[in-house]
Amino acid sequence: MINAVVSPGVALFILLVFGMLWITAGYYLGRKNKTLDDHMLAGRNVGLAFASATAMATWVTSNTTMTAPQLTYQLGVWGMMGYSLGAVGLLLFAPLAGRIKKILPHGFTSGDFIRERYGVLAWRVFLIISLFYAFGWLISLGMAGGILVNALSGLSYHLGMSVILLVCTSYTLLGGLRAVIATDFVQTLIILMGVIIIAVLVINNIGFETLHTSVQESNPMLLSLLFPAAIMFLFNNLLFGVGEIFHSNVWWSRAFAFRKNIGTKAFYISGLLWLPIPIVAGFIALSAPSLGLMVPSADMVGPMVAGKILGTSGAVIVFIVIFSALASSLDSLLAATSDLITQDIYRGHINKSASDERCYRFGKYIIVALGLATWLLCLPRLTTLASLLYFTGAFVASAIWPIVFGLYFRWATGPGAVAAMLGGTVSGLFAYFNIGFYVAALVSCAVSLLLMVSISLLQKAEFKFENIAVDKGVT
Amino acid sequence: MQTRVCTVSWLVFLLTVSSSCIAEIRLSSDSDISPEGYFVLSWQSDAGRPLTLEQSQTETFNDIKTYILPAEGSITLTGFVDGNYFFRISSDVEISNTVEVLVSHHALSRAFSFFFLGLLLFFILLTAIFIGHSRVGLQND
Repeated sequence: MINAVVSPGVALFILLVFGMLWITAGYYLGRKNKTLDDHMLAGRNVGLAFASATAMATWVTSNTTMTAPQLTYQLGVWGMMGYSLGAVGLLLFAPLAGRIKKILPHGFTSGDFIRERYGVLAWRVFLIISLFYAFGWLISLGMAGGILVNALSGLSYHLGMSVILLVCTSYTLLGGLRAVIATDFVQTLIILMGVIIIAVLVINNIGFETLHTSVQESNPMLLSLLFPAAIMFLFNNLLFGVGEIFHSNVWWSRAFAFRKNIGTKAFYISGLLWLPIPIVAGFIALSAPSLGLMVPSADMVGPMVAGKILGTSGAVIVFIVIFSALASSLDSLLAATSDLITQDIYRGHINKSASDERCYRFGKYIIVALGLATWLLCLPRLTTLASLLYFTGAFVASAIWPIVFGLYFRWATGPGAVAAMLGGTVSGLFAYFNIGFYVAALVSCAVSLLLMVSISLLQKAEFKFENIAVDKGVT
Repeated sequence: MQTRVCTVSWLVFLLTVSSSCIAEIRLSSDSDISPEGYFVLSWQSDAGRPLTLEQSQTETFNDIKTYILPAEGSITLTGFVDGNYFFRISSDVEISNTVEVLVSHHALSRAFSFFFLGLLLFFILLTAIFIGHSRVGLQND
């Protein structure tokens, strides 16, 4: 079915070389970790270059490199442009990162904030949403690894998925957030150079006119500016991205880990660097019709087109870029989800008197367990990447208002936040199943706003930010 | 009587054989109606020969577009405008069942309703962050 452009031997060689590189880096950097702060938050002392690189690399993921082409293939030029609006999430998180660091300089997770700001019930609802999203993202990353290897080399989906999960779990386990951030820096350089090379090769190999004529003839809706589903998708994707970043501990852990006054600048830089990447990644999908490609599953279109037009050397570059992008996100997500489970579930619910040393050890077990659980859930390839990812949109978009209003406004209340998260999620899921994946986050966000504002204002409460306990060391 | 039984048995045999030949290539779609203009066609064939997917907007396949396919798998087709689309797969000796997919995009009024709702939410979000951040900044000053 797949015309492999990278030989299985070369694919395995790349996986082994880069896998060993990341694992060695993880081991080397992990030797410096002595405390829970070191392991979970890289000593809370990350500078601007590493901070910008890790934020950008984490956001360049299977979503960007493989789902952006898929959405372009399915929703046309609006799909491509809409995907790039994911940068707005990073840009808007920039001011929030400064605020988070200011009011919670000693915080560990996004859960810490929700618990202290809204109470235990809202915290638990938030944890369910957050963990559900984390698993959705982890599965999509594992699947993307398998699809990438399969599409470019013909090696089995299961082999590619297993190797990538094993590599990322190993170095995250060995090095903690310090290794994640350091490898993210190298991975960012690889991604940026690779994307520039791919863009040049694509422009040299495909004429714009040929591409336009071919798509116009065989897939006219892809070029239509009045493509209804794509119009609906535009702001859905923006809000989905905002929801992902605002609520996820992946980004909060970075806000805590970055040095004082660094977070805001780092997120602005990373957002601007990220913006063109999905456009480049998505654009190549439009050449599938002119190349006569038989695309079995829409999420394979990116690697397949790259392999076809760029030849073996181009496909090797694509392979390395996507592998780096996957690794840079998978490691971050493993580390941040492990922190959330350790801090909010283990220490918050199961063993409240657990020492830092015990949590440090427990966190390592959790990383292994997460890697294993992700592997099991990736074994049956249940759906396409976009469908899986946007299913979680209904969940995460419901958390946007509780986070924003909770960080800045005294009138936001716990019951308002609970209703917003539950009501938003349910309505988003309803929209997902009854209209399409491209409106789930939008509907969730709208309902969540109504519930958050109306219930909070009815309660007429005034929260005192100075009472946030985690900042006083009462975790 | 015996001749009639033999004839009937022979006819039943022929029908069974011919139906199994027709069923040798099975084509299916993941949806009968597509509001997004994309859908997935899947097929299975025992033939082991290259196959041709035929696409037409008429049930009689008067004006066809073709794709060369492997013996087994699926294909994601995309970018269709509103209309009825008919698909079947042929090999040297046989033709599959016909699959019909109706592409009926969402109404533009619905699409723009969601678009403007999204735009409104985005402006509220920007305003909330701007006001919140300004107030916090003033308090700190």
